[in-house]
Amino acid sequence: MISRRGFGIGLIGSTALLGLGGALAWVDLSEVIEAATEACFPPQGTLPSAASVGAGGRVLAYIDELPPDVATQAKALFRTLEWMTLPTHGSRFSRLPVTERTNALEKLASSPWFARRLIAHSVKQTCAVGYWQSELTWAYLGYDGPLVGRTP
Amino acid sequence: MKTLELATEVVVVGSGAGGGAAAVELVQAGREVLILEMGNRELPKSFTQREEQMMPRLFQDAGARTTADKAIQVLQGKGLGGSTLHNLNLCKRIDPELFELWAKTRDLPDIGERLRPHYDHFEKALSIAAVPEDRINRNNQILRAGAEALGWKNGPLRHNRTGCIGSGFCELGCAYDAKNNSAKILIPAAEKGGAKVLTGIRVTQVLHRFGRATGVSGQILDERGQVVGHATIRAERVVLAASATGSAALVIASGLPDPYRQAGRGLTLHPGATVGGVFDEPVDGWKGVPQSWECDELLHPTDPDRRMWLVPVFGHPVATAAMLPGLGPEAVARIGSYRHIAAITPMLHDSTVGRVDARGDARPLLHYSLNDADRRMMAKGVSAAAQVLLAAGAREVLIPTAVPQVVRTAKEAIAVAQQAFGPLDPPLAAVHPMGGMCMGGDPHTSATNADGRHHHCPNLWIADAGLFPTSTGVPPQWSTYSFGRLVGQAAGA
Ligand SMILES: Cc1cc2nc3c(=O)[nH]c(=O)nc-3n(C[C@H](O)[C@H](O)[C@H](O)COP(=O)(O)OP(=O)(O)OC[C@H]3O[C@@H](n4cnc5c(N)ncnc54)[C@H](O)[C@@H]3O)c2cc1C
Ligand code: SF4
Repeated sequence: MISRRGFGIGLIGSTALLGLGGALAWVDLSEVIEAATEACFPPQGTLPSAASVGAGGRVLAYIDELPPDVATQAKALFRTLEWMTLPTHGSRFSRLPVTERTNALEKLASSPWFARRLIAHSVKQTCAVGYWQSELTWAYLGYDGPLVGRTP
Repeated sequence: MKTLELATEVVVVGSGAGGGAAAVELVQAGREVLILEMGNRELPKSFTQREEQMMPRLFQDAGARTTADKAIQVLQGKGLGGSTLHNLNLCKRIDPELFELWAKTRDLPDIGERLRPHYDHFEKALSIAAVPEDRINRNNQILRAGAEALGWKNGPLRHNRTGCIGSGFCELGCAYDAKNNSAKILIPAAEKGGAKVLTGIRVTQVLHRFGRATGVSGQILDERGQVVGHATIRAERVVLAASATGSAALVIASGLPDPYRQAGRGLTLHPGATVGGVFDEPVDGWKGVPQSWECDELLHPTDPDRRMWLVPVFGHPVATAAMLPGLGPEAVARIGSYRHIAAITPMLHDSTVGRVDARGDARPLLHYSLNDADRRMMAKGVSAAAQVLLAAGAREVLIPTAVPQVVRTAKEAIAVAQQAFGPLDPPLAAVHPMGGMCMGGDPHTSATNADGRHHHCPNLWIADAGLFPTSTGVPPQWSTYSFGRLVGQAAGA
């Protein structure tokens, strides 16, 4: 578990990193997105892993459809997430065990600070697009998929 | 880069509820009309019912549009037909009491009477009728049962659909072409009357000289929305129907005369939260007509203490996973109850008034954050939704606050009304942007006159939901079609 203060430092650090823009572009975004997806929606039961459904690639394809400024922010969001745990956990987000990743996101989501809630909210929304669009997740839900071409 | 230069008598920007309605009237008045739409001509048979494919095709910013502070998701449509391509087809008229208020406070005498024939026209033209009893799905029956158990006012809703098979995919576009919307009814009627349509044109400027509009210019987009050229259209009259947010942004970006700085003012959104109840039996809420029943116990057009409308809501997997509260194993367990969840959205008839601004590329920037009265009202609405779900037999209700809560008793649900809500606590979404180019008799307090004509640019009209001077408290499409027709007749005269 990380302390609220520790995570605050992480956030400030990450905001500074965000300001550096392209300097940290070498982060493997697909890997970070899949790590975040697993933290938001850790597989249970019949659910596949984020990597096995290619959640990273799917999210990046979605980001490509966004207006350029929004796409840049979305990519910056995952870069921020990747580095913000370094000062507090001594490790990049994607290298942490999944429970620690989930805890870190939960801390952000329940923060009294809007900016922190926004990070967790945006990460979850974006990861949901990549993961739950996969047919491989639908059996777990009992969702029978598109009707086109079938009789209702 | 391609270039396109054209001239026409009237250019209509946007092809949704307002633009479609105005275009039909303009051709009927004998005008030469060109309709410009930034999205594509989307054919129902190409609708795949998959969220990741249809959201980028049918929604502005692929569904990622938000208020400037990013606290509220704002869903708006694109494509020939605008938001009517993917809306949920509810049709309600604005209450006469609200029209009276507009008449008095906005100097809009007889506005209700002036709109009445247009409402009547669309009732027939769009075949607006009650949803048949056998099409009311389990999710909607739960709202009905809960409201009845509490003795709260409730009733059926009316829709504009013909040949609906109840697939439940309305928000991703109707693959069965059952929606009697702008794309199916109005644009074809306008084209039959001689209107030309150009899709893939994103207008970025209203051209003007000496206080008169001379046309529009903008980008030519390819199928994927990438800029591939520049278009200039000269026109004697300009009708903006680019939605409540889009038209105001265009007026501001174009630097049109605005001595009292009214462009962009008066933005309202009808934001709503999502409250889910878990039932023992399957609900299968994604199947069937999504919204066919309402509870309007807490809704009144002009009473400041009753500004909450309760309607069922449901999503396909991506939307549901995104809107259910929580993260981690707990969240996954909740999503696992997908078949057993019924959901209600408490939708706010907002007193908050925001402002539209324009980004550098004329895309809208929405300044809007809930005032204290609306935050309290939202807590009351979430509490009411939880009470309805519990009264209908929910085993537990998920309150989507930043720290997710589970309530199991009426007492706990009632207590939610006292909680202090804030931005993203709970997350809100809005599908009804209104205002921005508000109608009114006084140019000091409104952007357009009672005919939708710009107060300071006599050959420019607004024909979309941007005209509404306040929140309406009812779904806006029927009123937008009606305003569009009223404006189309004025602009065509
Ligand atoms: C998910 C969802 C569900 C809804 N359900 C209901 C419902 O059940 N009942 C109801 O009454 N209302 C509903 N609505 C709202 C309703 O659809 C809108 O209020 C209505 O369509 C508004 O009409 P409009 O003409 O103002 O804008 P729109 O219908 O949004 O049309 C505006 C058009 O202008 C185009 N445009 C924008 N900017 C430009 C530009 N710069 N250049 C060229 N073109 C541009 C857009 O692409 C769009 O096609 C729903 C909306 C959503 C998003
Ligand atoms: S429920 Fe009806 S209107 Fe909606 S998508 Fe299905 S067939 Fe079309």
